[in-house]
Amino acid sequence: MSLNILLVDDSETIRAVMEKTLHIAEIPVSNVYHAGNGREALDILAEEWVDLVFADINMPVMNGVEMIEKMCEDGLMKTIPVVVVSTEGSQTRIESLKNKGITAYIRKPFKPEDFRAIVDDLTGGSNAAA
Amino acid sequence: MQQLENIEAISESFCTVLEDLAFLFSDPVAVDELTFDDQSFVQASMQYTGSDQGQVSLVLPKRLMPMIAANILGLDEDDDLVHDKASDAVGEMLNIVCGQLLTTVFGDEPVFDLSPPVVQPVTSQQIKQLIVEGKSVAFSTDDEPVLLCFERKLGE
Repeated sequence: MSLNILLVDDSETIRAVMEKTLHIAEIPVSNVYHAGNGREALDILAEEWVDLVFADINMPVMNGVEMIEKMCEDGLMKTIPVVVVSTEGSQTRIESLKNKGITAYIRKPFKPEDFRAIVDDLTGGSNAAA
Repeated sequence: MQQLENIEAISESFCTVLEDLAFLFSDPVAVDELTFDDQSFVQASMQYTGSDQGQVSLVLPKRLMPMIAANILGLDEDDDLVHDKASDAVGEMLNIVCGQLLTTVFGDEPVFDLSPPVVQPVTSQQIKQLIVEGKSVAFSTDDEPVLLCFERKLGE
């Protein structure tokens, strides 16, 4: 099963690194969409079929928390798994994000194994590299 | 302005991030071992607000920026994309350093909001001021002089 993945981060560099990380982790990908903030992400989610979102928290225009809250208000978007990829180290905020329904949290700097483990969890290991 | 505390933990955290993210090896050094007059420097800075507030910044030689971007992106230094993304890459490196530093200093309970990083030129006079004020830790990063500055603004 190949995945449509949305990468949300205001840093183009980090989005490029995340996309490269998906390939290194041998995660089967059909399409990778990029958004520079939560607003752009919601626009893409309204137009495209997305299986999984990797999103930063601190972003201009609309941050990751606001984006997740907006997704929760939408019947279809709220079913899409969101993995927060952030510098955030506060357990208080991470717990708050989990209460909002995020699937997982990865702290920057990240490793390919972090992405791999989460995709395996979500797919029951059905995306394991052959 | 409070003086810098927890220098050892901050230094270790900084060195680990640079190594893990950008494959750059840093050693803490005495600031008077470094020279800041013979080349152009930039300062990447960002504010944090919450139960404490202040600014975290990095002062580094401009010529180090393409190496940082190349290493993070996994590209050659002469790739056009590296030069396009050099400022963004340095800003993101600071973002990660800042997140780790705040946890190192304040623990993992307080919640902070971070401003977007800003990267701009800095003069040798401004660098000397940062050093005099005792708010910075000096590093030799791949043999280049780098300052990590941490300015807490509460309790002034």
